[in-house]
Amino acid sequence: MAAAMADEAAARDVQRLLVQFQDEGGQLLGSPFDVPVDITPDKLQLVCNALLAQEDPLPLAFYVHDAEIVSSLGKTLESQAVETEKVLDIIYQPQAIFRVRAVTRCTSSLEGHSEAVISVAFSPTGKYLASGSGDTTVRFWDLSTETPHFTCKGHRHWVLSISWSPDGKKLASGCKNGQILLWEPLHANPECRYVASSSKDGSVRVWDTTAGRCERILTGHTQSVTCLRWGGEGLLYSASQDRTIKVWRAHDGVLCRTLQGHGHWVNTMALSTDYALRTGAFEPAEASVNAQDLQGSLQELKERALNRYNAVRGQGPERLVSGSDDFTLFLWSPAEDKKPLARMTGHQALINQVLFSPDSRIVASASFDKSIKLWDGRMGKYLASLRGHVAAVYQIAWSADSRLLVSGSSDSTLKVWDVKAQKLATDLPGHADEVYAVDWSPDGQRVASGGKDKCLRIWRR
Amino acid sequence: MERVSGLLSWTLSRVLWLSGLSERGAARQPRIMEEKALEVYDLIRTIRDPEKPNTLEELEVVTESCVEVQEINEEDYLVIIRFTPTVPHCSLATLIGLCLRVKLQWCLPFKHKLEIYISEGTHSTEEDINKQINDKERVAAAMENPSLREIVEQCVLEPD
Repeated sequence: MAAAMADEAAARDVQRLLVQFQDEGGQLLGSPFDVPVDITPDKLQLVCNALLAQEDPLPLAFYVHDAEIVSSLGKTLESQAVETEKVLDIIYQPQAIFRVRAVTRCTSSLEGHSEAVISVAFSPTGKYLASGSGDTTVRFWDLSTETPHFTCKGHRHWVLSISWSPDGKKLASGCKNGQILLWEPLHANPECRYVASSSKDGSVRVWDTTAGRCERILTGHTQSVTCLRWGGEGLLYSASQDRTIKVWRAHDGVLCRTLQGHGHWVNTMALSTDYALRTGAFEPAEASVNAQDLQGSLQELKERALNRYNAVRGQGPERLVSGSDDFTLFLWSPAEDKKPLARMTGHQALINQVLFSPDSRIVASASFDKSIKLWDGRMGKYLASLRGHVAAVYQIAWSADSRLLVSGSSDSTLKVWDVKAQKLATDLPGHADEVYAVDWSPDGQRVASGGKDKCLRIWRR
Repeated sequence: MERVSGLLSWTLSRVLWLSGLSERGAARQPRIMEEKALEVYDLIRTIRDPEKPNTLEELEVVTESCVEVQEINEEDYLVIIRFTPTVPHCSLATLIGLCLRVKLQWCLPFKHKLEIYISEGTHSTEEDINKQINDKERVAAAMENPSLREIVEQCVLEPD
């Protein structure tokens, strides 16, 4: 029986190819060896893990000439001319070890706000949830009982934006027409001391929270500053309606560069290291069912945050993607060059939000043209369009393993998309009116959404 | 008397002037509608037929002239499509109608109300089919059926 099968295999005479494993940065792994052309990704994974000599086998994705190997090496190479003499480079990409499950049901609808909910944010560990609303309050919600916890009154106008400090101990909120606040990354300053805020008056202010005063004012923009990002290398990026993005050095407030190129207001920006900066020392792979506060001394937290930051950043500098009212996105390497790396066109209406995936490989852009487009995070190449919403898409959020994306839209539904298959995974109707804000908790267990119907909804598996 | 005749001639000249304006306005409208109709046609012509490997344009199920766009309000349009099934007893006419509706719902950037009809005299049960493909609830129920949804997605999504 075995002999017959061996004969059959020999008779089939499968073509063999020389392959060499390479990581994303171009580093070679092991030496070239030959494999049959019909080898599957599972077997490639076994070989690669053996070469990497890891204790626990990592899930890996394999790419040859920018095409992913899905069924077998042979099928992927069908469309391309293969030279059997040359060694074929197969690039392996480690995927997240943990897997986040898609949310499927609404577990509670939290009422309390008396006006539309404008922003929703989970704390870096996923233990607490905060929401800002047009009724000028910021509310905290207890996630284990899914009931209201605290109501913070004090603002005199709509709360437009909320932001957690990377250590999860403090929240900043901004109100009054275009004021946005952001915290200094944990690995740079583990005490989480500085906050930056941008405003409609065109200036950016850096505040010292322990001293309680404004440390620096950065002026230069001629119109309202719409978005602000604090990078991990000590650079502050600000995008404005004057169509430019300015790069500032945070510790002394010097303007390093101005990035020009957009033809209309720049609405949104995202950094490739955003997720690592947001979650600080919290590692989603170590999440448990009951969310815990971060343990460890300041020094330990700083080290963990720095390690996570370096892992996501990779070899090159931080990348920045900006989305604008001119229907295009630009990919920049702002620490190095003031010319863009790529211009990403294709949307038919203004872009409301752009987000890098947590592993910084994919950029997702949500637009008023009802679609979400996926782009390659390194080169800016177009990957796919996710269609399904029947009205403008307002906000998106990535799951911690970069495999799922949730989007909230003006058509009152949320949709969970499977990024690998580039298809809809789950449809989440339930809101009574437009959904303005969505967030996925860093431990992957919950999605929170809020909108015009003044209700906050929590979705779980 | 003079006053009255003066008033009369004034109102007459006003009416003539206003009608001149509206005529110019009306001349402007058809052009915007043509652009929108072409936009709609551009989207629907790439939809693939569920049975055959050709697009609806290749099979002449839809043509440029079969799309009509009217303006209801500022920024709100009524789109009317009349498609011709390939054979008078085509069993997939409802599926084609569903594909048309879903494609425009997902991809057309401006706010629109959609009415889809079978061209008169080209199908044996056209009245029933017209009723079915314009019924909002039946369309929603159809899209909740996972296998139907899969077929529609395959017909509608363009290879990038």
